[in-house]
Amino acid sequence: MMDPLSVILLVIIPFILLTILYSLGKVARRETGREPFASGHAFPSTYIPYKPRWLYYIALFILWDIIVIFILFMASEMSLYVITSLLILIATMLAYPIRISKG
Amino acid sequence: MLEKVIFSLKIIAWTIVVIFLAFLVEWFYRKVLAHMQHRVGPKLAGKLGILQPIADFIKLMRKRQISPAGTDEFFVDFTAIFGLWLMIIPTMFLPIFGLEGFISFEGDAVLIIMLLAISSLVYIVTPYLFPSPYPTIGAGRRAELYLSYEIPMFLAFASAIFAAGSLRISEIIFAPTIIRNDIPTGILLVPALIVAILSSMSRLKKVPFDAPVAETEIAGGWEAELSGRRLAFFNLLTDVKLFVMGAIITTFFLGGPLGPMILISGLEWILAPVWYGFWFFLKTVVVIFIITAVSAATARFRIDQVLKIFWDRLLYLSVFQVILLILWWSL
Repeated sequence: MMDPLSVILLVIIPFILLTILYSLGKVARRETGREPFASGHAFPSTYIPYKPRWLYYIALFILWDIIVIFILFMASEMSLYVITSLLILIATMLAYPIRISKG
Repeated sequence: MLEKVIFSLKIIAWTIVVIFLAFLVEWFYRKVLAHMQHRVGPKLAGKLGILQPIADFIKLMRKRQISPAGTDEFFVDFTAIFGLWLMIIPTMFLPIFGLEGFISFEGDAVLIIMLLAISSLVYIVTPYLFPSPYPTIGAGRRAELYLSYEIPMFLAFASAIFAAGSLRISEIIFAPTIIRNDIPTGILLVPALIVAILSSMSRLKKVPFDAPVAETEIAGGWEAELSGRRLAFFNLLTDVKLFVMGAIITTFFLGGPLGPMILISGLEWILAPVWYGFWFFLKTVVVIFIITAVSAATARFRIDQVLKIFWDRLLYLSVFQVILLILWWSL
């Protein structure tokens, strides 16, 4: 197992390198402060009133997915917790297509 | 102290190597795709256009950055760096020039799968930082895609982990070589390999699973408002991801760096890493070639068709794979 300092170096060094590389890029913007869309459209920028309910569902699914993998990572062997978490994860995912098929 | 300095230099060197490998992978992808579509592909920068991805990256880095008013500038910059960082970390665990990665510990296989899951969040969160409809629609599609491919992909990788009986990558590479009931496990893992390749294509947004970036429908989807250095970094992220996915599939299903080796007495210390590296990169290139060939030969599916494929076909195939392994082992 790695010592804590090695883990910190492993995490920080690539991030610093990438930040330096990123900062080499050009950042100059227009003086007006307002920019056109990169896609070429002239309409004013605005957040569209599009908040699908399933987005919250998907956000929770992703959160749960990462937690399950983390549980597996910590458990390092099959246990009741791992199997239960996996079953809940699969059931959560299946809930969405069932809802769609029922309209 | 000296040990830590050497360790730090190794990390710096490896990060730079991964970035250049990603450029090489992009060149290979573009060249193969072009030839399959009867085009020439990159040819101007360097021999056979091999330097074209680097030229494109520098060009984008030097271009003016455009973003619509109201964009969360700080977080877009952060996700551009964070996303790339998330994909560089897994490469340090891959056994490329030996039987162990640059770093190895019990459970590193699960850590890689977890990092892949977290990296998908970057594609879902970033578009919402732009006040523009195209990225929002693209992000919605990306989220639905994530929901469809994640479980089949997870079960496919879990099959290799079960077959190896270990959560350590240096032991998982031997999974295909394990012989039970006179059949190598590598043959039994073919359904999982198919699921892993198709899920990887979906994760990479390659045709036919490129609904989140469909240029003709939603103007590039979540990429529509990226420009300058942001676009350069997200393009680089896609290239690194292509290499990482090819390398992870090689590691889990194709034996990683294992292959026939010719070693000369006294020169093993240099020849062994060269052979390991040769087999690892050869297998990774084959996986990337398969992804490219499928991309070139197919047209884009609608988002509902993609969901149907993953929920109605690949999920069952991945569950079948796990059951097949359990049954075969219990015989």
